Amino acid sequence: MRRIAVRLAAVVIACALLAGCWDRHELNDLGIVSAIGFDKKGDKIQVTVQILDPSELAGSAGKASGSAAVVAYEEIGVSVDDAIGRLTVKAPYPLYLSHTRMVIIGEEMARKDGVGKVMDYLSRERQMRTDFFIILAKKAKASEVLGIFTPITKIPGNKMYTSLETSAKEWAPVKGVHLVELINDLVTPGKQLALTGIRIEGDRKKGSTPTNIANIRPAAKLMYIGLGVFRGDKLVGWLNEEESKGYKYIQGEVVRSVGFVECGPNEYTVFKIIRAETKRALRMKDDKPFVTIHLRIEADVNEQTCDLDLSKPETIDKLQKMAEKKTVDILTSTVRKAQEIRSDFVGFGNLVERKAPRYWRKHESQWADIFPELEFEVKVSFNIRRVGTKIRSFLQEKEE
Amino acid sequence: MPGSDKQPPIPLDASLDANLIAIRAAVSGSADIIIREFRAGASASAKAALIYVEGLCDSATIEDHILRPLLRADDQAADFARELPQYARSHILTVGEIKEVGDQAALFESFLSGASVLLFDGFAQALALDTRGWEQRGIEEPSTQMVLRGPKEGFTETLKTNIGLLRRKIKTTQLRSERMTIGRLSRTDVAIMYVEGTADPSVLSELRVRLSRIDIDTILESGNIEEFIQDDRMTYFPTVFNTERPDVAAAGLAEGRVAILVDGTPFVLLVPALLTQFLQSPDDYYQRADIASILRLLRLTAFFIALLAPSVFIAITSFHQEMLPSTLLISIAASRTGVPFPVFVEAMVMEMTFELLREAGLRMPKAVGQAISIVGALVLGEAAVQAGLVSPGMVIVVSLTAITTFAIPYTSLATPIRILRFLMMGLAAMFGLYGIFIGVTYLIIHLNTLSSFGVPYLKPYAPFVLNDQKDGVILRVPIWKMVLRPFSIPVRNRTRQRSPQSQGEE
Repeated sequence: MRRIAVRLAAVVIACALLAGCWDRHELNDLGIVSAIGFDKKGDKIQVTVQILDPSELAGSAGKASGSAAVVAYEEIGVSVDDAIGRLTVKAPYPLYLSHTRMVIIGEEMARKDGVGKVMDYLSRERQMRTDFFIILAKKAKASEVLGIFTPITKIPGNKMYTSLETSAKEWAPVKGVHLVELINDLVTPGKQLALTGIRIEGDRKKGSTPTNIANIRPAAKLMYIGLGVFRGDKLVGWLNEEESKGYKYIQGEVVRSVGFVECGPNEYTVFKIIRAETKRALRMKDDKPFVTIHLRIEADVNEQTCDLDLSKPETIDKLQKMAEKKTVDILTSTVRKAQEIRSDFVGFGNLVERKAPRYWRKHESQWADIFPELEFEVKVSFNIRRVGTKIRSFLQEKEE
Repeated sequence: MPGSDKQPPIPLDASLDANLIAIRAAVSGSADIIIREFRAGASASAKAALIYVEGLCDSATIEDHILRPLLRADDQAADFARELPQYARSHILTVGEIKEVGDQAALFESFLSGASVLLFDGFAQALALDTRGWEQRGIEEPSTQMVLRGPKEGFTETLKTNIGLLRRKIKTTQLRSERMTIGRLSRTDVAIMYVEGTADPSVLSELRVRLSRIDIDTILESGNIEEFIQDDRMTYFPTVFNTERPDVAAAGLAEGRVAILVDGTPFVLLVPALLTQFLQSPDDYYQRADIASILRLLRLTAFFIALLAPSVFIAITSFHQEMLPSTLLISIAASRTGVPFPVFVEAMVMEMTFELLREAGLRMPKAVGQAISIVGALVLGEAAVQAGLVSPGMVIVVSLTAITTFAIPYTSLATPIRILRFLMMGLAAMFGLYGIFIGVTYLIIHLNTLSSFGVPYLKPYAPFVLNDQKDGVILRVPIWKMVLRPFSIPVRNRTRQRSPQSQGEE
């Protein structure tokens, strides 16, 4: 009896000394943060957190009073942690950051102060999981984005997260960036960062009232739009839809997407891209690097409004040629844009570093000047695999 | 009580009167002890007395096979007067078992255990006639260890019947039964049964030593014996197996275990006992092997849920909220709004309430039992949640542990799990998952220190026995694959099937 008691006591005491209850929190005494926003406020940082109100959400239906499911608190500080520390005077419970789904950075801050500063906190903080997405607020402050009511998914953070997750998979111009990828892009030599932007479409004032979700057509909606590209950790410009698409193809990050070619005046054939594979090659031409991008796309015909007979191999060939040309144009315009704004977000520098390390070591410091003049070519092989459940459109059949 | 006192035996007197005076003095005032004096022989030539205990003896036997033949015996035979006890035994009495007793202690013990003792004047020995016959419960279905498929008979309170039940399962002369009496007051009959040539002699001799060491006034149930003979007394875990089912006991005997049958209880003990046994239900062997394996997996899961569910819930909700999926976190947080207690207190209160209900339900007269279960369901479920005292999530966790506890086939294992659950909850509340791991680690260490009659308790897993994996915690291979007996417990003869065959047609 005594031996066991002594042993048990030893175990318990050891536990108590090694760990402890210091991080014990009752679940209902946590301010669960679902999204964080960062904005520039003078020389300081304004931090906005969206905290969930569990009683307004899920669980016992009918208890919800119809008020906002999340509450946003804002606070200004010299650094992120400083502001978050100050936030405790406003928030009812200690902030709990593990369930953060979204980090939003205001455009002004990204342009002027850069994103590097806040990333230190996000990567250092013990509570942070690394599976949240980081996005830019386009032409808006992060705090404004976090003030919009979102219908169906009552938690804006979750809405933005799931919506970004799906669109990054199904729609080429959107890219979901996690913390690790962001830091990788920031520290990799010869590679610049690109982050997806979010825009508030519609009336911002009305969007921040509960009526926004009471209407069939919400007054304000959050939508992803193009990519913002960086030089260093500062935002230098926005890509339009085509360029964003090109960026994702060059990175080999397209999972599925939709594309079209104009097969007649105002008539289109629409493809569902089901597979895309990118290979980048580098060779030295006249002692200068020359980049070749090989892109192999597999697609299905999803829709067509022109009078094409898809049963003929020639038609398919023709469509493939058109699509190839269009894709080459898209990719070229993306690289041109990169050269124009002098931001190597396509990662050619990185390619040079890996494929021609000697050249890179010699020219790394001048890369910013070499890149805009860099020669490259784009080779696309576009393969149509299926044409759907119809060969000819019923419109054609009707005409005959 | 005479008989067990360590004094030299007092021999019987040749005079009937002297003997009767001694007996009357010893049993003075016991109205149920009948001393019937009569004169044996047709011409009433010999003085005799019959002593028996009312209620232990079958009166028809006494009348038909003792008194009537004695009273009508032809007392003219030469041997009648000269060697009356021997003559009566060989010529007159029509009772089966007759023993001769020569001293007072043996005489008392004989009639107190149901024999009728016959004394003749002029002879210093008595005859103990087996007239045992008392009211007893018939063979019924075991009430605590039920199966869907399998024999519906259970042991009863009578040792004789129980031994018979085992003999009916194992019909070989190798089935041995040794008898002994334990308890100074209760003089309880205890039988050790084993299969000679299969059971390990070292286990047997150890068991005999442990049983003979017991010196106590009463043994009322096999639980009393169990406490005396177990290896390690500082544990919640049972190191002696008990069963109400003759088929389980017979299977144990065939595997080389030793059964201990105690008069007065339907619970038969089996040693050595391993932890795996307590997770195996008898029906596992009576239904398809694959199904049995799946059910065992289910039961093992139940074992862990019963042990850990509330503690893991406490740990995750109060320390490791980041482990929950966001939506689950939100719904748990939502269901907890307004609950006044920390989750640990909430869990403690609920588990205690359930254990109380269970304890009360056991002792509730059957008629009231229904009422208690309704109150329990309402108190535990509806009302507490409605009043905002507990969260619905906690009700689910508590009912889950309650259900899983009953999925463990033997209560002797379910009870330690119930107790350890509370310890785990305490650890979880203090140290989170870390505490649970400390607790589980200590539990495993503890289980490794246990043994049952020298056999490590965690066999066949620690130490590992490859042969016995065929019938372990999860796996149960088809019977025709079990060619050898389990090696985990020491066994003399390992062969179970002499010419192994594959299934069905060849």
